[in-house]
Formats: sequence, structure tokens, C-alpha cells
Amino acid sequence: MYALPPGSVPAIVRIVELHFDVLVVGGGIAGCAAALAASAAGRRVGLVRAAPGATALSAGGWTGPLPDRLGAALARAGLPFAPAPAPLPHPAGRLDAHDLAAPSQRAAAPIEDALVCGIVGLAGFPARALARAWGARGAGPAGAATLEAGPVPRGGWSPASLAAYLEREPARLAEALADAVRRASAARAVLPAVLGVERVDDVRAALEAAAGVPVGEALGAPPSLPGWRLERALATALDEAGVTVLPGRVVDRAMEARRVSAVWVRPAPASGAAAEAVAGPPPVESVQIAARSFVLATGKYLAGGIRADDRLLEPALGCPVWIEYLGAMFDEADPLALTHPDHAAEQPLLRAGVRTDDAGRPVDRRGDVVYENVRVAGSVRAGVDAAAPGLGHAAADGWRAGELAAEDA
Amino acid sequence: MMRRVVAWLNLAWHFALHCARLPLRPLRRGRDARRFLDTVGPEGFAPLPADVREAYPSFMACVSCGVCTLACPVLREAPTSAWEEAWTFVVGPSRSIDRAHLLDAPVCTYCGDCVLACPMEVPIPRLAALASLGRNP
Repeated sequence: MYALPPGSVPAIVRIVELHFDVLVVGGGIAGCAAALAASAAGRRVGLVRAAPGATALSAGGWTGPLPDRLGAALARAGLPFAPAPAPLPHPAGRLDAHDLAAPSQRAAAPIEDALVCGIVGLAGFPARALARAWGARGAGPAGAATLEAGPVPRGGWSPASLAAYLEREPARLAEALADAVRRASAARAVLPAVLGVERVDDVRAALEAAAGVPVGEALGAPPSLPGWRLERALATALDEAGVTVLPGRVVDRAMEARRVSAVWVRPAPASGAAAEAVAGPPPVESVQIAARSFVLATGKYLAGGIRADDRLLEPALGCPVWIEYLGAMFDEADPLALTHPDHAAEQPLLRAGVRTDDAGRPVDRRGDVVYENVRVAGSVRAGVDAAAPGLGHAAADGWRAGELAAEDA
Repeated sequence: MMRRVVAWLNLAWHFALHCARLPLRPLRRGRDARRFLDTVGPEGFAPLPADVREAYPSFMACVSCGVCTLACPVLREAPTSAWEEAWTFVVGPSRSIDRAHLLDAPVCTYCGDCVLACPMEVPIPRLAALASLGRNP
């Protein structure tokens, strides 16, 4: 039923045994919420994560519910989400309605009285065109300007390098912004989401002090700095809650009766010297981690929680994955049958995932529970479209799975 | 007919010369290899060892998400041009590896933070090391 993915067989197996009450597999918003919930219930929690996934690519808005204690933890980590006063401007030229938003995105709405500011040398944020697109529905922004942030590098700014530069040198942009806001007599300024990699509050404070009006960021497109800040805030929250985070990928699992007793984790390479980088990674060792209950929150295709190479596969725990569509059962990712040319239409392939019972435990085709001590949360579940925004739905799902897993442990 | 005979005789003569020279090959000390590299080098197709070719599929897994760039501590210390950072650096060679040597190799400290951030586990430091090899052969 389940085979190790090729290349993942450990060359040297060194058994390092770790024990937890609850082990969460996956470190996106669902996995982090589950870990925080189980930790709040007083359990010893570990979290295995391969890499940042779709959560780190989120745009800075929040759709769906925010569990109270998760919101409090994010606020303590410096990222308080609060209701968005109006639809938020997206650099693709549309206004996105979100329930909540991070402070710097919240300050960008409403767009009607704002000055839209591009930055010289930064591609992907044409201020004049965006001001027209965002104003198409309503009164329209107060105007558009393109500001100088500093000496433009030879290849232009990328969002990340501009953000890193602004954390050091916000003065020149602040001066240009103050001048532009005064001339346009705007009530707020909207800039691209590049106001600092993580110290966005400092950069915004410097700009607001100079301009005298609220300064906000548009939503982020990948590589999204708002998504990265959420990622860092979640890491801080996990650390504060005493959750042990292990970078690595689950490659196999051990079973007792119908329960998972332990998983094998291939740790991520921590660092390497130049010579090692040329020669390739050293032989892989595996770590065995035992726990009383597990939460599976590995995400979908981007994060590797569901794979559709040959057959549909859930590689971490080997849960059954299949698609039911128009009365037929699909084991394989047949793109002709399972996708629709109209991207807004239903896309069954994007909804593939692990099916669960009412308590979030994985089930097979007969509806029998596969693992009694595993709860499934987030976009690895069937029926959740990984392309649809909805951090809040994943977070609420993960929080509930974490509470149930804590009861199991 | 006559031209064909001449062509075959010419080919036979060169083949005989080649066979006669084979035992002398160890004495040429890599001159043949250098001549080969001088011929293919300017065309941009640098021959690579087998283990590097085997690593190609892992480089090609890049999905252009850009998270490696946000995780890079070197970039945090010294903001740089859009063309000299992990993201653009990986995307280009991941689609056509033989172009890696055309890029400015980033100032990589091989700390591995980008690999931890990459959802597709692209061995980015390895790609950086390859690019700097191609630039300074």
C-alpha cells in the first residue's frame, strides 16, 4: 500500500528516539494552530515541518475565523490581525475582501482617499495603472506617484532587497513620500508590500512620522513579505508556547494495531560548507519520533502533503487518497478528466486529499478509520481547494484537530 | 566513382593513423581533452561530471515561489540587485542549467537557510557552488 519515495531510504540509520504527547506533521497555519491548541491543553508537543508552504506565500489578508488564542499568540509575536475596514488593494489590480488583515495592510484601506506610490526601480507595482484599476469601482484614489527610495541597483530592486534596504535607510523614501503626500493632499499613502522584511512597524513609523498620514502596504504577491512575516510570527508563537520544532520530512511510520506509534523523520540539511555544496549532501540519517497522537497538516501539492506523480499519494503517513467525480473513482491524477479549462469552474484535481470522518480521522473507501490516533487538518483534506484563500478556515480546522489530538494523548 | 574511392581511401588512411597513435595517447597529457573543451566552451555547453548531471532534476524542481530570497541572511546584510539573489539565481539555471555560468554568482556563505525555506528542497548552495565554478574555472 505504501512505499518509501525514491531516494528517501536512509543510507545510515541512526536511531534518535524522541517522545511527545502530540506530534504535528506540517508547519503551515493549520499545523501551527494544532500545535498551539495541543500545547494550550497542557500536552508536550512536537512539530515536524519540511519547509514553509502556502502559508508563507499568503498575501497579508485573513479570510475565515481566527481562533481567539491563536490571534492573541500572533499579536504577542508582533502581528495583530484585526478587521479590515474595506476591501484591500492587491498588486494585480483588484480589491480583495478579507475578514481580517495585518496592521500594515489594514492601513491601506479604504483606497478612496489614498495616494498610490510606486518606487523607482521596483517592477510589478505600476502606481498610475493600479490607481486607475483600484478606483474603477468607487471614487478612486487621490492620485499616484513614483518615489525614489535610494540608489537603484544595476538589475533593479527586488521586493526582498528593497525591504532589507528600507529597514536600514527609510529616510530618503520618507522625504519623497512626505513631499508627494503634501502635493496631492492625500489622507493616506499606499505602497507596495516592501516596507521591511520583518521590522515593518519601524519602517512604517518612520514614514508616517515624515508624511503625517497613515501609510499602508498593498497585499503581497509571491515572494510575499506579508506571508513571510506571518511565517516568522508563527515560529515565534510556537517557540513561546514551548513547542519543539524539528525541520525535516516524515518518510515512514510505525504502526501498532490501527494506531500510528512513531514516525521516521529525515532531517533537513542544517548547513553545509562550499566543498560539501559541490559534492552533494552527506548520507542521510533518520530520526524516530514516537507520540501518543498525531495531527496530519502537511498541505497539498505545493508543500508536498499530496503528491500526484503517478498515483495520488499522501507520502507522510500513507493515508488513502482518491477522487470521486461524476460517479467515478480516480486513483491517478488524470488531468483530462479532473480539470476544467475554465479556471473558475470546479477543479476536482485541486480538491484531492485525505478523507476524514466527523472527528477528523482519516478513512478509507469503506469509511473505516485508518489510524485511530491521527487527526487531519488544513488543505491536505479532501474537498479543500488549495488555490482558494482561507487562512482562517485552515486555522480553525487545525485548532480543532489540535484539541482533539490533545484529548487522545 | 573515382571521388568516392578517394574519399574512402582518405578515411582509411586517417583511421590507420588514429590506430597507430592510440598507444601514444598517455603521452599527450590531456591535450586532447583541452582541445575538446576549447571547441565546445565558447558555445556555452560545458561538459559536466555524471554526479552533477544526476542533480539536475532536483534543481529543476524550483516553482519560483521566492521564499529562499526572503530567508537569505546574506541578502539581509547587504541588499543587492534583483538579479543577484537566491530567487532569480535559482529560477534561471533551474530551467536551463548550462546558463548558470552566465549569472553573477551570489556571495553565498553556504549557511543552508535557503534550503530549509525551499518547499521543493532545491539544493540551492550546490547550485551556487556550481555557478561559481563555471565563472572561475
